[in-house]
Amino acid sequence: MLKTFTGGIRLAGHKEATANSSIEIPSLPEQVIVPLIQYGGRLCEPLVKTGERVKTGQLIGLSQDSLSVAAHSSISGKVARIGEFVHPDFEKARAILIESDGLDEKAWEAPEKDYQDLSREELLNRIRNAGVVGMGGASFPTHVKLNPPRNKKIDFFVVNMFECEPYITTDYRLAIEKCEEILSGVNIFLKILEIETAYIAIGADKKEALDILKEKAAKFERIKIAALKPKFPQGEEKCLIKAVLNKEVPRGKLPYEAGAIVCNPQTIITVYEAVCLGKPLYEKVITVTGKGIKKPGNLKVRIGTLLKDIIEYSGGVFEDEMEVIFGGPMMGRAQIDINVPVVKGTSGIVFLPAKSLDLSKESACIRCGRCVEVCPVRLLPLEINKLVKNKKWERLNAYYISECMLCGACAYVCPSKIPLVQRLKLGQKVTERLKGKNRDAK
Amino acid sequence: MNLNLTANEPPHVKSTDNTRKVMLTVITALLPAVITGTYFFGLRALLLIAVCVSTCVASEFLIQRLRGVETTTGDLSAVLTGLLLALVLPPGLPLWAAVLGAVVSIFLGKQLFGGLGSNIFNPALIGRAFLTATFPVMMTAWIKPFNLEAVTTATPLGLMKFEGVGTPVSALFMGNTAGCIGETSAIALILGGIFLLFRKAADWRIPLGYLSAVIACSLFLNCFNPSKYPSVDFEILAGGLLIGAIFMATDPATSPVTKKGRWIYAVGCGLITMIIRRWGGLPEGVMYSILFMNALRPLIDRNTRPVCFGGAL
Repeated sequence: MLKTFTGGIRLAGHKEATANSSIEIPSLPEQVIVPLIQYGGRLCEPLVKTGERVKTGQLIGLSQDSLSVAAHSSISGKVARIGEFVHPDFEKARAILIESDGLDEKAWEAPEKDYQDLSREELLNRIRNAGVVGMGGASFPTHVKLNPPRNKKIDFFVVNMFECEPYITTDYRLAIEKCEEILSGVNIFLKILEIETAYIAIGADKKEALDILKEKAAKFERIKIAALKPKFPQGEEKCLIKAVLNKEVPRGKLPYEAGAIVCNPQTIITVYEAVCLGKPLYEKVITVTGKGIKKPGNLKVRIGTLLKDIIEYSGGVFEDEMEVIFGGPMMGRAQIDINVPVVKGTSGIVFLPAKSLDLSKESACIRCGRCVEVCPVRLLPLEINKLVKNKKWERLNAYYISECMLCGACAYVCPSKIPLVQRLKLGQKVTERLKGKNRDAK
Repeated sequence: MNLNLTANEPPHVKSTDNTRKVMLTVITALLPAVITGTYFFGLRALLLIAVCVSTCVASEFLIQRLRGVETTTGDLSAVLTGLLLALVLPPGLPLWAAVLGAVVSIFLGKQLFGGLGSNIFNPALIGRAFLTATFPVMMTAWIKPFNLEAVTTATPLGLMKFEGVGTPVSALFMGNTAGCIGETSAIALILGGIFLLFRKAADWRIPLGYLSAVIACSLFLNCFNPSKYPSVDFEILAGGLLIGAIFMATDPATSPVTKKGRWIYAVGCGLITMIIRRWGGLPEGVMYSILFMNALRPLIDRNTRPVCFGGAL
């Protein structure tokens, strides 16, 4: 039997539109908006001034905060403006607008020293300076993830190639087209983490990628392949560790407490490029797909490329009324402005025609318990929904509200169409605030 | 570029199932029992079903209007309540009594608690319990199948308990015995049950736990004293056990939501049914066992809350 976790749902993949499309490189954008903030970290200070010339890959933003990473220009050209711009994860954020000179002049070159001769600290520094963050969506800084407290014993490194969101096929294409880079990258991770074993976790239904991985990984003794049952949200770190290693990350803790570090394959390729080629993170592969876009595909775009330029490259849209999601349709965020830029955590852009959306009104909970059955962290979403609706905030902790990872499996299956994700999110927000208040009172 | 962006909260895709479809699935699963009921007890049975269903829908509509809340008869839950109630009534019951039972089901059993999902007891069983308490003679006046003159007789469970007379298994299986409209034909209920579970409109744990408890008790008793206690096949096929275990106990609103809770609830239903059947004053105990376990539902849910992923702090 295939390995898996308890709960979760089977989803229609909708991956056929782009699964067989090779990664394309669109023409260079005329302008990019490079945000000075990554999710979770602090705002970077801009290192350039308006009117200044920049090269591709040039460092343009930096922060001393340990959770922040550097920002690089993704094209060569001129800094047109530094100010507030739309951001896909926040409403607005400080960013740098760069106008292209069309030359794509590189500011980076291959380092002299081979990575084998570098110390752990030097490797982590290269990763940090290249601005690498988790590219599956959460954007957690990779140099932080790779540097758990020294007293914690890490046993396994897991490559998260599961990609459980419908429509998205970036990791799948990367596994097929960039397998060598991923495997070389894994060896860098093993060296930094000073461990012996890596697992590549992938859905058992992704045959072509699975075959290539199996064939190429055969020469690496330390890399094993774990084929998992296709289910959502198997790609969530905690579900992945449970399925691959049969360990549960302790409540409220990070994965290293279970002795595992999980990374997305694109992050691994980026680390490989940063360490071996000296290339900073300024471009990434995203899946542009959905029933609403004329030419779906897997595109390698520059960070900061605007949504409208991607729409234009992809042949335009079929409908005037559209929901455009950055990320997957289960957990991604719908955008409200076509000038929004692609950021490091954007895994894909899904175009759903408005008329295809299920906007049915919420009706009474019939207590069918489907939400309980599918919850991967064993919560009772229906009870939490009731408490939030009745504003019984103080009781939410007893229902483990903080453990919800907002995967949306409960809201997906709910026959009463209750907006469970919003209720759970609101519950989390209020309990966090109350916790803060209690702390202050003490 | 001419593009209007609409932004909704995630998840942006949802399953196509909804409350109405869930109800429709259960109603469909009950159709075999409606057909066998009509076949054995005539068009009178069908009329009784129609009266119960229409009274339930009308009461729900009127009460919601009076409460000043949105009317939700479109979700078909009132249709289902009416259908379930009719199927557990004697086929010869006067129509006015059926109307009264249906009104009580909706008003006392459902709307008084706040409507769908907020009720504690199975509404159809509340209606039936009310009628049993108020008109005990009418509610135990059974007619023989295919008998338009309505010759009164006893149900297989009654015959067994009070007269020590058995009923052939084949009659129990097909439904050719006296009893409530929808309870007599085991084959119709089993077919409907398979459909229900296949479509995931009910949790398999509840019928399985319920029937297993009855089987276990019956095996034990029968093995212990076969002359006094009926055999397993009789216990399973006679009376309202199948309709209760498959269609009544599985009502989502009135059964626990946790997996462990569902097992406890189901086994509890089975044990109480057997206690009433074998040691109680009544021939049948399915209705009271389910109502009793309905009452324990909040307690069961509260005490079977799973520990979250990663363990408690």
